Amino acid sequence: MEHLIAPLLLFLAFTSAAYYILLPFLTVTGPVTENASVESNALQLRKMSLYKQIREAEFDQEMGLIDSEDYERTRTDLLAETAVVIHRLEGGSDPVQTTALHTQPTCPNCDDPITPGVKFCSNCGSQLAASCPQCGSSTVPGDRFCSSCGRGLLE
Amino acid sequence: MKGFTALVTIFSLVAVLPAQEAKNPLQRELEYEIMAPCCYGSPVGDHESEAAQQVKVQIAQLLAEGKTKEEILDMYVAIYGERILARPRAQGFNLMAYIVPPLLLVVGGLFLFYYLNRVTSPAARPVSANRESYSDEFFSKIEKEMKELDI
Amino acid sequence: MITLGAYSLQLGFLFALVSLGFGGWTLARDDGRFQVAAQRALVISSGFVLLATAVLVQQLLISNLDLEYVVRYSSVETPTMYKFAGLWAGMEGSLLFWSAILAIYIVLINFLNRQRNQTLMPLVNIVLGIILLFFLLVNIFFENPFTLLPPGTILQGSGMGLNPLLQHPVMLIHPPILYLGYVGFAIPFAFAVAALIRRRLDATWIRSTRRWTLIPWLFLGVGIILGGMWAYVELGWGGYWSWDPVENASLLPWLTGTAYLHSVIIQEKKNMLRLWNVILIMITFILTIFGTYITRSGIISSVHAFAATDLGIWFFGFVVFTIVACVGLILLRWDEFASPNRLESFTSRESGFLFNNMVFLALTLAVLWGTMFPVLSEAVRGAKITVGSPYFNRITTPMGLILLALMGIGPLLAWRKTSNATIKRNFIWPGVGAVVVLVTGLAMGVSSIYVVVTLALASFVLVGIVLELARGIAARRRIAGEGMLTALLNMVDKNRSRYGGYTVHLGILIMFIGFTGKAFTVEQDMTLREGEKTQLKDYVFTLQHHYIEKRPNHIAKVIDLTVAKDEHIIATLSPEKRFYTDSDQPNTEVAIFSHGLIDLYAILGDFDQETGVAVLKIMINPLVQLIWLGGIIMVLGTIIAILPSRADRKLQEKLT
Repeated sequence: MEHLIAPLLLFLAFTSAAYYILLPFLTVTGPVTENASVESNALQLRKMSLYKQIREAEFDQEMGLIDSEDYERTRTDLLAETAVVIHRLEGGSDPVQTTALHTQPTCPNCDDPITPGVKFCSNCGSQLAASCPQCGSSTVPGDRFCSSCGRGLLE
Repeated sequence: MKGFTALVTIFSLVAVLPAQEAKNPLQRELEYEIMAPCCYGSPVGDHESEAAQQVKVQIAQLLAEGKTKEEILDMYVAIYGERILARPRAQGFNLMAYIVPPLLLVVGGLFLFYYLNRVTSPAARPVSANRESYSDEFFSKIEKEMKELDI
Repeated sequence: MITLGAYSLQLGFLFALVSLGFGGWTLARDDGRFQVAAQRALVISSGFVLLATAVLVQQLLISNLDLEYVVRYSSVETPTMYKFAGLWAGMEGSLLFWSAILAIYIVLINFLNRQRNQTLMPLVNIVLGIILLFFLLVNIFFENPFTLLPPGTILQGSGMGLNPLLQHPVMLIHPPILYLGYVGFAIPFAFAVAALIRRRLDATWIRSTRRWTLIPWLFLGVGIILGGMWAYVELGWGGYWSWDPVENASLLPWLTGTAYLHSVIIQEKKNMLRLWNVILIMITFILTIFGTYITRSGIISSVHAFAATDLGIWFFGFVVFTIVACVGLILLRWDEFASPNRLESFTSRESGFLFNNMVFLALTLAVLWGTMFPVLSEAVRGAKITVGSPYFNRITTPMGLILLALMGIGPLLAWRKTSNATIKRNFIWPGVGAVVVLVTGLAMGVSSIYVVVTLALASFVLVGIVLELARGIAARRRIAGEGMLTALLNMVDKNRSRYGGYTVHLGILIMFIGFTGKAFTVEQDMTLREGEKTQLKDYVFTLQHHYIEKRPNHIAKVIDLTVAKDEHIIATLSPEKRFYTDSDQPNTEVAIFSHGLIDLYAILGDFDQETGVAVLKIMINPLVQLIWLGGIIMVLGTIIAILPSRADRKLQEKLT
């Protein structure tokens, strides 16, 4: 009798395990769809990381580890990225022109503010915008493809 | 500053202990150049076995006879083979054992310099955003959230 | 019971296979039902593995001599607590133990991620399933711990007993902790592979595995230190690290793991180094498997290695398979690695981390090179050679010192860019600290230049850390008007990785100071009769008694040696020479007394019962205590970094 106990136990364990594994096929009818909050969780974490970095920069400045010029730059860059993340968390799709972020375009060469639409910087004269040779919409220097029609711009 | 004082104390503590009295320094050096011929697991200086003891005594005798370090090592290699040396001699192929590690450091360093040069070049440098471009509303909003989250 | 163990091992194997079957299906078609089934099958497989392990432990505890494994690694007389150690004393048991620890990790990771990382988890489970399957395969078909003694075997005595060297309290915790570290790196590795396959290489997978990297890293580090401690108190040669291949094998993944811990910070902050981090964690995992291979295959002779078997080829195969799979995956996802790699300046914290990574990797490769060199040299030249501790000390000391220096310099640099004024301000006091120690050392005539440089660099790092803490506390008191202690606690809680890291650095630099003690060791071999005295440094050792004691599984020859300093007796050392009756093996028990930071260390060679002459060795080992102290501080630092901060907890509440 005793030599039967172990196989019996094992058999029970095996069947219940098999049942447990196959249960999803009996109860759930369709494929389980991916959790929609994955993306937003990732963004939340990114935001936390940025917040921490902002605080760290503030603290480093307070401790005298970095000078005020470095601090300003660091903080501004971090804020810019935070604005993008917050915008996306609130459901925005493209990370530009947000309610929170009033971006003023600046010249990539001299950082002077520029008016949207102009083709040359009024301060240093570098080229700001060009147009796509295929569809005519405006492009930004350095772009590799036209954002309207997809034509390659590197010639 | 307290830690610093402690360090200096530790330092003087070890500094007053002269290293290895009694034993001939050459004897000690040799004890760490020759493996224990019983199991080849560690140098005779770190090994407690009869074979290791014998080697220690032999080394002392050989030194007393006026043999040099190289002569003694040669004798052991002749008897037991190259395996008896705790580290390979820097000659022939075995030179590689000594060349490769520093080379790794040099190559790694050069590569890193090249990489840093590339990623810090003015063309790659990130453009800073403009500080004036955020509304006060935005500042107070994130400041509030940071406070709430206790960051 | 034996049947139960054997069958649950096989069921574990079966369910791992089932899980991989379901898992493979989800790769082809994203059907959630198959994902759930695969997950459940893997958890059940883990359950069976744990059951099998429990059965083996139970068999060892009741000393069931029908089982070949029990006979070989335990005996009826083995003290109960060392019967547990039988689990990892032999090849079969230790492989099962490996699987059991992986099983624990699998259950934990699936439980903790039941709501999170839904995209990655199915793939994580596939990777972990493959690893578990491999170990179970080896366990069932080649090294089965549930093998019965061949019928008709006549047993002499009651089992061969546990290897006397392993009968030490440290040996009860060293292997499990080391294994927890080794096996644990499978988790971040699995996440990296999953993120690679799913094309989710942003910092999310890194953030979700931050703790799962720190935990194995901590266990591996503690395991290595405990191993050193065991060698020091049990092996009786007065040292703690001999650069034995198996020791090196455990050090290698720790080194790359440390590099990884640093480089992920850059990815978290800057979204750079995606490829590098994936490669680092892959290397770390491969090195853990490679370490297992070195230990099991007998390819390199080592005091630690298990008996040489033909298992080596399987582990080698698995290592090759993993490497090929990793390289293949990276190439398949090459387009994912094009991330905007931009840095502002050479003098930034970022580049400090990069240099740290480079030196860690060079050190890893150098140790690997030295470890494998005998094999290489024999293949090329045909002559057997030894690459022992003198070689490694010579090669690794400079690199270790570079790392020590970087440990001091890195934290003084600011993120992004450090202006010259900042550099001047941050470096001046640590620099002064280093120079003072350097000058003091040279003036005192310390013989070894390495010792002076180590202490000077340690002083640099220490002053840096202390200054940073002092400035931080002062800043917090200014901002929040808090008291000293509150300021410290809040400061740490606001940035746990940073201050946990500094604490670990503090532990490491204390260990480095401990390493220098080796240069000041004094030792003497001697023979003493009862009542005779000998002096070594300021200490007078007197042999008081010698006697023989019979204990359950061994006979011990013991001497009592009193130690006096300035005419006062400060301690009695009782080293032993034991003879284990079950395993027919002799063993020495070292006696150690720590007088402040100086260890008095006595080893009994033997004594003659009739003449009463004892042969012994006495060593004076200064500063070794600091290595254990540094280890404890390292653990504290890691715990600081692992525990969630107030902000983390609040965010957690908000997200769920």
